[in-house]
Amino acid sequence: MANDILLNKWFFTFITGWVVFLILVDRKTLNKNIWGGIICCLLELWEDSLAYLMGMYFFKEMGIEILNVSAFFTFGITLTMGILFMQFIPGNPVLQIIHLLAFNIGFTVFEALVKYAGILETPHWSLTASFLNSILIFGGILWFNDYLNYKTGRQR
Amino acid sequence: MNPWLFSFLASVLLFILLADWKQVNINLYGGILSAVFIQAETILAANLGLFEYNLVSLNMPDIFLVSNPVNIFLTGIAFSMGILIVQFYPRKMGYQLLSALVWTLFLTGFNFLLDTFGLVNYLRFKPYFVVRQLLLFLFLAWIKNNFVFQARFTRR
Repeated sequence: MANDILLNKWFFTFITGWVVFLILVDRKTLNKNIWGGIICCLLELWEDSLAYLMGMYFFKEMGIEILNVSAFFTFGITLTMGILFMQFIPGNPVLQIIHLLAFNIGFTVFEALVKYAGILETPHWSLTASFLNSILIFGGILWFNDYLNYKTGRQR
Repeated sequence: MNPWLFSFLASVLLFILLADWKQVNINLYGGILSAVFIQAETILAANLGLFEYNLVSLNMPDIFLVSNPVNIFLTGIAFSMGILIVQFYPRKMGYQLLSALVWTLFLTGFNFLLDTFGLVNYLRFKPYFVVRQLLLFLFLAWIKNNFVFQARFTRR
């Protein structure tokens, strides 16, 4: 069982995500930025589990499963990159758009890699659809980031 | 009468009644982004076999723009409603979230109406899959907060 998990490709992405996260995380602002991770996890679970039910795309070799999604993905790349996305949002709105596009390209490349590795099957989904979808997710998080700043700014 | 043309004309009437003509130029981005998003979604959904529209060319010449895979009428509805969505965003962010949720509810109702009247075939989709649109509405609010409201504040 332990050996199966260690050889699992989703587990590999989980470890990679957490290593990058632990190197780059700013612990002082984590109490605010954790909301970026939580929102990403909720959106990912909602969209990916519905996609499974509808037959758009599905995970293979999940390791540990939660709502037909690999828990290693939800609590790995999704959680950690959601937090880092919010942490690294710059102050200038034009740079925020560039930040959004950079993360989006990174996520699309990640999706292409997991497809290539054979752990994501996409019979009725495409990288173009994923790119458009991710723009909206990151765009929504930009609004939530402003909202959290607005709320914490008022409390100070 | 063509039901899509009827819906489009209803949206134009609503737009003429509710639009603030002095602000249309600054709220135009909401219409353009909504139209681009809905057009991209329509084409992707048809290509990926998620859903397809029906009767778009009923009693009309079946040309490229007036066809089920393109559906220019829906793009027109998204354009006018996108401008209104942005126009009615209040300054307070809590109310912006509420406004986005209300428009998402309207959209869900519209999707159910399309389904009831047989104007859409949901193959691998449901009328309540509207989280992407909610995120789009929040992204439109983010643009207004960071570019429109900010520009007004700077000018004062």
